[in-house]
Amino acid sequence: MTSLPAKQNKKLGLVIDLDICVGCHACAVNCKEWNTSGHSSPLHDIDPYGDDPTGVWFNRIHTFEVESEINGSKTVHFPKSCLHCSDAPCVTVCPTGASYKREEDGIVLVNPETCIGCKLCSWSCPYGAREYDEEAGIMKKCTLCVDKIYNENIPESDRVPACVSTCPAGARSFGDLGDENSDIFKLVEERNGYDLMPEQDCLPTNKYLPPREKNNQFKNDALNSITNDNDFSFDTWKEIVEDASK
Amino acid sequence: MIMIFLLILGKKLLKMHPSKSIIFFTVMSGTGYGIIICLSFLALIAEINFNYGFKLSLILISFLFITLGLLSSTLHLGHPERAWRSFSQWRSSWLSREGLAAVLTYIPLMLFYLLWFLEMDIFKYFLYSASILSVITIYCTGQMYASLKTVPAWNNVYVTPIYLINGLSIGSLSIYCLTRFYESEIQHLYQFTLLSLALCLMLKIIYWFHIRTKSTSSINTAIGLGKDNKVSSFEGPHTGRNFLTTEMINKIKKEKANFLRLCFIILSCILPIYMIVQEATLIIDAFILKLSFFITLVFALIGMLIERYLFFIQAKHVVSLYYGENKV
Amino acid sequence: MNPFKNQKEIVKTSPRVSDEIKQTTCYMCACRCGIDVHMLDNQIRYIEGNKNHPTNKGVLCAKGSAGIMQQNSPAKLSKPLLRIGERGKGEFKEIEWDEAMQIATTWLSDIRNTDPKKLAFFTGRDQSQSLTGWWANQFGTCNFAAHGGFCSVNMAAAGLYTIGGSFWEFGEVDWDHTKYFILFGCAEDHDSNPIKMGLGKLKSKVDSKFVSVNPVKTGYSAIADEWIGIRPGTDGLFVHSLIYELLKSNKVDWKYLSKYTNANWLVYNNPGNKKHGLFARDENNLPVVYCKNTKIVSSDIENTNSAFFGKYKYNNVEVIPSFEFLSKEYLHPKYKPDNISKLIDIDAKVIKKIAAEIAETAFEKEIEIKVDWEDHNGKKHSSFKGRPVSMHAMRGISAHSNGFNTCKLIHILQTLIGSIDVPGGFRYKAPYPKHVVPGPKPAGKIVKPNTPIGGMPLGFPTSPEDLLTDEDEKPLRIDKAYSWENPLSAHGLMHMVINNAWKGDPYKIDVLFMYMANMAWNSSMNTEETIKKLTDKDEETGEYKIPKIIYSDAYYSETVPYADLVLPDTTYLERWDCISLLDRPISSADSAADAIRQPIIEPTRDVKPFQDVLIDLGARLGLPSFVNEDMSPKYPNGYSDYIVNHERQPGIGPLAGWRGNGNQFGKGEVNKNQLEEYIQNGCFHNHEFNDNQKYYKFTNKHYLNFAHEMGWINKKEPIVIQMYSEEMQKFKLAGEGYGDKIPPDHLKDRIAKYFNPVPTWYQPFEEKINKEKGKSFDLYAVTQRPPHMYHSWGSQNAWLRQITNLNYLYISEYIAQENNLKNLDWVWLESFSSKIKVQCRVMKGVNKNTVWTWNAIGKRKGAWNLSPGAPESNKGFLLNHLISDVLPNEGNRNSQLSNSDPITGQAAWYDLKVKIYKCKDEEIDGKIYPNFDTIKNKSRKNMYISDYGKQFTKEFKDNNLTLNQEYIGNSKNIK
Ligand SMILES: Nc1nc2c(c(=O)[nH]1)N[C@H]1C(S)=C(S)[C@@H](COP(=O)(O)OP(=O)(O)OC[C@H]3O[C@@H](n4cnc5c(=O)[nH]c(N)nc54)[C@H](O)[C@@H]3O)O[C@H]1N2
Ligand SMILES: Nc1nc2c(c(=O)[nH]1)N[C@H]1C(S)=C(S)[C@@H](COP(=O)(O)OP(=O)(O)OC[C@H]3O[C@@H](n4cnc5c(=O)[nH]c(N)nc54)[C@H](O)[C@@H]3O)O[C@H]1N2
Ligand code: SF4
Ligand code: SF4
Ligand code: SF4
Ligand code: SF4
Ligand code: SF4
Ligand SMILES: [Mo]
Repeated sequence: MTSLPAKQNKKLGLVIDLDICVGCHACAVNCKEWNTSGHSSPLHDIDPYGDDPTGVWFNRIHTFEVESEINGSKTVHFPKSCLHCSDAPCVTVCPTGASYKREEDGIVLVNPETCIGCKLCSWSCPYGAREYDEEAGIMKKCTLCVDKIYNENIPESDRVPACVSTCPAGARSFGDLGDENSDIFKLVEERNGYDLMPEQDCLPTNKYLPPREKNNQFKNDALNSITNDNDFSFDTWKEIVEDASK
Repeated sequence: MIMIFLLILGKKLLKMHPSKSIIFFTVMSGTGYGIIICLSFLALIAEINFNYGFKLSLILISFLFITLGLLSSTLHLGHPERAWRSFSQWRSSWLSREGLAAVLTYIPLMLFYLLWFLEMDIFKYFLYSASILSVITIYCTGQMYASLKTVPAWNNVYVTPIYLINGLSIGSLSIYCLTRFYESEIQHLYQFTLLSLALCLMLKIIYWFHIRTKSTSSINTAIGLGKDNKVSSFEGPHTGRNFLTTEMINKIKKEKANFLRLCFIILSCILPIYMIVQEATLIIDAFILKLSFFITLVFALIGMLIERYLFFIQAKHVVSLYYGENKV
Repeated sequence: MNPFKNQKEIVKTSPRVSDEIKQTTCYMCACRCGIDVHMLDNQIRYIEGNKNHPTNKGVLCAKGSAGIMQQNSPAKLSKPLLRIGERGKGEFKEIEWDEAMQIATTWLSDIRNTDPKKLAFFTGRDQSQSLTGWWANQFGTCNFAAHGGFCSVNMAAAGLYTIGGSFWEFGEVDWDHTKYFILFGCAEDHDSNPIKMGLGKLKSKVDSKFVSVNPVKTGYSAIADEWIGIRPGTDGLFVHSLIYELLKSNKVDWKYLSKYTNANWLVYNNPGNKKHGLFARDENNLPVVYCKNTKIVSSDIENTNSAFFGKYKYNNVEVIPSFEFLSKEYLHPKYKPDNISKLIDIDAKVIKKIAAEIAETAFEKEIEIKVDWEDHNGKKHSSFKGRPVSMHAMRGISAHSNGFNTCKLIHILQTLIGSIDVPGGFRYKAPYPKHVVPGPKPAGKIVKPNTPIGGMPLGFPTSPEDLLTDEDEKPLRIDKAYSWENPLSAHGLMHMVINNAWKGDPYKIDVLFMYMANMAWNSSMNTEETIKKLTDKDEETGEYKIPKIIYSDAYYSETVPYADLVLPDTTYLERWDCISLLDRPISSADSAADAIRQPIIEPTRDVKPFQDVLIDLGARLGLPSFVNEDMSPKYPNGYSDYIVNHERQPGIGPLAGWRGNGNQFGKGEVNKNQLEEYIQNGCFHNHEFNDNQKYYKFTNKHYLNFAHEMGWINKKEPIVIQMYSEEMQKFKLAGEGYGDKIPPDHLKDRIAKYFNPVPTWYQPFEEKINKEKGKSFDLYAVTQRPPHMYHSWGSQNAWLRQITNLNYLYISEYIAQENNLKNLDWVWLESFSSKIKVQCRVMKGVNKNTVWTWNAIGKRKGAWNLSPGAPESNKGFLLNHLISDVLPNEGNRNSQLSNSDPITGQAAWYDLKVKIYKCKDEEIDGKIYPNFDTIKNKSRKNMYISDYGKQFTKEFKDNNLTLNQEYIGNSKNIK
């Protein structure tokens, strides 16, 4: 049945660092590239060279401008894919059981063989993480690269999600967020990682790290001029400097 | 004039998302189920043995409405041939329950049709059970929407009752119009129909007031960078459309929505009530009477389609927060 | 099948990913990352970054990740084309390669036999310039350049004329050690992935700060710890002001200046003399310095306290240390933050604060890397000391008519605080640094039939004598490079070729031969006029003013229809290529590296790699280096043959790795197995320097010796940073009328004014001229590169165009308010030369006087196999229509000067000034203006669905297995 797993040993997921994401879309495109030949293959593109191109993407980059009273405006790049929620409504609403959360690692997947394409799960997901493939008639979504992270045909070091290994800025991390001893868990603790829309009660696994506020590391706001500022004379300056430069 | 206007409107509606089939399905099958439920109420308190023509029309209309509705909803699936799979998750999924209930309804329903037609008295038991299952089906449909937290306009106690009362009101109106057509009378139908139409109107108005209050989700919780910061969307992930913007982010202007609301109120509530109440003073000629009630029913159905369209188009999904909306 | 039963999915977690991984080098942009191409059933399954590659270390950007769709583009050309209709109409006949080569040979040999300069050979995004330049030399035409002139030659030239290396892709930040990083005017740059990796690293350190100076706050600037929303074109003032603050507070690394720069060299101070401002030199022609004890001595003598100030006599002429001159100039009160603030839209407090932070980081947070090393004098040191302030700058600086000087100012700032090639600072990438001024002079003074020009067409003039001008001081080159109009145009002026060829100014040409440059669209200024010039006919003869155009492209770009003969190229995955140390290598500061591309899939079209074609053409024309003595082709197997066997000097060829017997680096005999060795190693060679060679390269004995051995520099002497530039002074003197070669009258003032021995800021030309003419175009308009698009190529890519297929004009809230504009309004944007109609959006993070848009999103209808109704052609637009290729007439005779930097000829894209106003209701039709007609492309294919990957779906039926690991991005380095 499409109920959620009773207990979750592992919570595999992503941590996205908004402090260093430059909004380059690399993760989104690499995701598409891996996955169009992966578990949910193909990720169709409709009208690819026409007037209204659209297609299936598991990961998307938004950009916001955030204005605060104290710090003025900030541009924030904001990648978003499935958050592999612990209490995933997309699973419980599914009438066929095609949408499910894996017991062994918490990955939320759609079974392409049994999905009837009713789209209800997409309506239940607050984050817009589900992608209906018009052409295939089924729902698709981020697989957390389930066919890469365990893949014995590639070297162990490559067994991380495509979006993570490709990110040029290193803004994406991957690991078991259910394990309090993991680096990724500690990272979230240290950097005050947070949930998106906690009020939706989905208990997302993926976490976001807020931009760091670097508090002032500098002693002075201005330099101390070595000569009288108001009636500056090159010669006086030169004299002082000449001594110093020796 | 009105017809042309409606035609244009209809055409426009068809072009628009949300999925026409869902709108069509919920209205049609709701009407069909409504007829059955209404009949069972009437059967409880009165005799419902009419002439064959009348019966046949009721049977045909309710059956067709229910079936067309179900078919259309099945055909709008990405994989209709797999629809049977949707029975498996009745423990957790309202959609699964709805499907199951809808299919189950057919068993007593078909028996009721047969026995009623054959004038065998036990038809009542099948009518009652079909009616209970119809209520359950509509209830499931309603719950399916009402349980979606992502759409605050649906996630409330009014949605399911509205689904029920909409079905009932248009169902009883259908029967009422048929009685005009067949020039017969059913006891209490007059009061029943008026009551359900009035209730329908009332509930909807309350609902509209209710959904003006906003939800707990906002752009601030959606991206999570400070409660009081002003956040605006600078660039979306695509300059064109994508699945989400097409499926879930529909925009309708306030004025247009208000106009459509008015259309619904008039077409589906005021007009039928007016027709029913003022029937005696209005109509002299039998043919015109039949025609005008036929038109009333068609208008009421159109009104219902409009209501359902609004239900979907005005339901802001929280995902729109990522696409330029500040609150839902 | 029980409908109530849940069918559980069995996920195949280990599908086959590849039968074979082929490694090569990405060319979705010029960053040249290493890629692993996973091939499954002979098709591309997946492209990822090569983990061992020095450039990208495993990461891959959005463009690189979309390589599959580049390969799949239906816009790929498939056969040589010969024009049959009118130019620009896209009416072609497909011809065989033999015929194509014959036509080209006939056209070209006619020219070569008579007047080789009638061939203008201009190659755009060329990564094989050492071949193409060589070819031009052998052909005998001086008219060769690649795209650098419209790209960023200001950065290259300013650096090479000052510090012997430069920003752009020729240097990098010491990401591991820097603590304070200032980025000027850069959105992407060629070091695309390294910069992103570096920023991630830098930001993850707690004691670091990243400052971005940029009118727009997106991309990199978005993650900056401090954003300086400067007014375009005024960075020079900002830097002046920083220098003013630092100087005035004596925050200067005197030791560094005295040891590694010419700050203490003495210059003649006798105005009116032809030696005024030049260095005083001793009998060995060495510059001299003044020392207290020893008086005036040669600058190469190890000295401890040479003077930076004072007036002395040398040979009875007054001399002063160059620094006195420099500091006096820079301490002028006009550079006070309070006086600068209004001009650059930055608070004086902020300027002062940045100066203070630079000083504090440089002088109080000094770092040290413990390594024993030796300087050029043989003096031993036990550590590299570093001032961890670093800077990088790119087109926000270079694409202005004051870019050369501004970039030089930044180098002066870096030098003052001693942060060049030190730990934590800016670092040279091999083969840089070079001696200032480097390398050969431009060849091509003499052009004769059937004779090579005797050197590379591009080089570095050091005095007026090196210019390519005739006895009347008129330009010798078609693009007027190395003429008095832009003397130091080290990369040529590709943006002027079409205009000049059309005008016949300075002369007419016969064949315009272009490769890989979309000159009929996004790489031209004033696109509309340029297109007209390409199709304009001589009224008398009825012939095209530019008689013949040969063009090599791989795709159906906007330029293809304007060619008479189209030579279809392969894609980057289908050919050999060489990323050479002779050209634009992929080195880092720690290592010298070069790379190749290998064909990983067979083209299924009748196309040939351009380099093969060029080599074949060279042989057919009998160019000396391309044929053996018996006139048989020297490189019968094409480019791969050339890469291995060509030697520029004995032992030095295109590739430095695995020479000779296979273990020689840099110099060595030809190794027939060289390419195999490269392929074995992931298609690159990386020579890591020893730890003691990595910093202070300009004085580092072990580095200098090595570089000399490699042929990167031609003497082992130290490289002295030229804060004071004698070369500039020589030109200035000529402008003032001194010397043997002086500019024509109408250019004298210009030369005298803009050539200065120490760089200074001046107002960009377009602004200045507008102002003088009383025209008000108050706003600044610039473009930025979208990180996921490479110029015009990206739009044919089914994935990338879904991200961006139209662009808006972004305007500040202030502009919106002033002009009563809101999101999605249609507006007119007008410059002195033209106007466009576009849709605007309002944003916060932009300088209040600036509007901007993404570059090269707009496409001409019908190009790139897109449907004519594509958003790119109906809502997407270029700013290029507003950018004039020539300056508004200044009233002088002859003065249709190019809209470029007066020193280098760098195209001044970002000098653009505009005004904005709302469209009238009746003008709004949902489409941009100008709206060009559709270009025909008979080969255009429609495609409604793309289902790439479907062929691999079968890989997914099987069972489970468990294993996983963590991966922590940059965020790890916290605390
Ligand atoms: N407004 C504005 N204009 C600008 C700029 C700006 O910032 N703003 N930037 C300027 C700068 S810096 C530059 S460098 C230019 C860039 O402008 P261009 O040099 O024109 O660059 P691309 O658009 O990349 O076009 C190069 C051509 O190469 C073709 N091509 C791609 N791959 C291959 C291949 O493998 N073989 C062959 N033979 N051809 C190939 C493409 O199809 C295209 O037609 O634009 C300049 N124009
Ligand atoms: N993704 C991608 N990468 C590319 C390319 C591409 O097309 N796409 N093109 C490649 C090429 S050919 C080049 S030349 C490089 C160029 O790389 P960049 O130099 O990064 O080029 P631009 O995108 O033009 O960025 C110029 C930046 O300068 C800012 N700017 C404009 N005027 C001023 C000014 O007066 N002062 C300051 N401080 N800033 C200013 C603009 O806002 C913009 O952010 O990128 C290369 N890399
Ligand atoms: S690849 Fe990394 S930096 Fe680029 S958008 Fe994705 S998360 Fe941000
Ligand atoms: S993010 Fe959406 S799709 Fe993913 S698990 Fe949560 S609810 Fe389901
Ligand atoms: S679309 Fe597929 S996965 Fe989603 S709820 Fe329907 S059947 Fe389940
Ligand atoms: S984990 Fe894999 S499927 Fe999910 S967004 Fe990243 S790349 Fe895409
Ligand atoms: S930066 Fe991107 S497009 Fe450029 S070479 Fe590297 S991977 Fe390829
Ligand atoms: Mo460029």
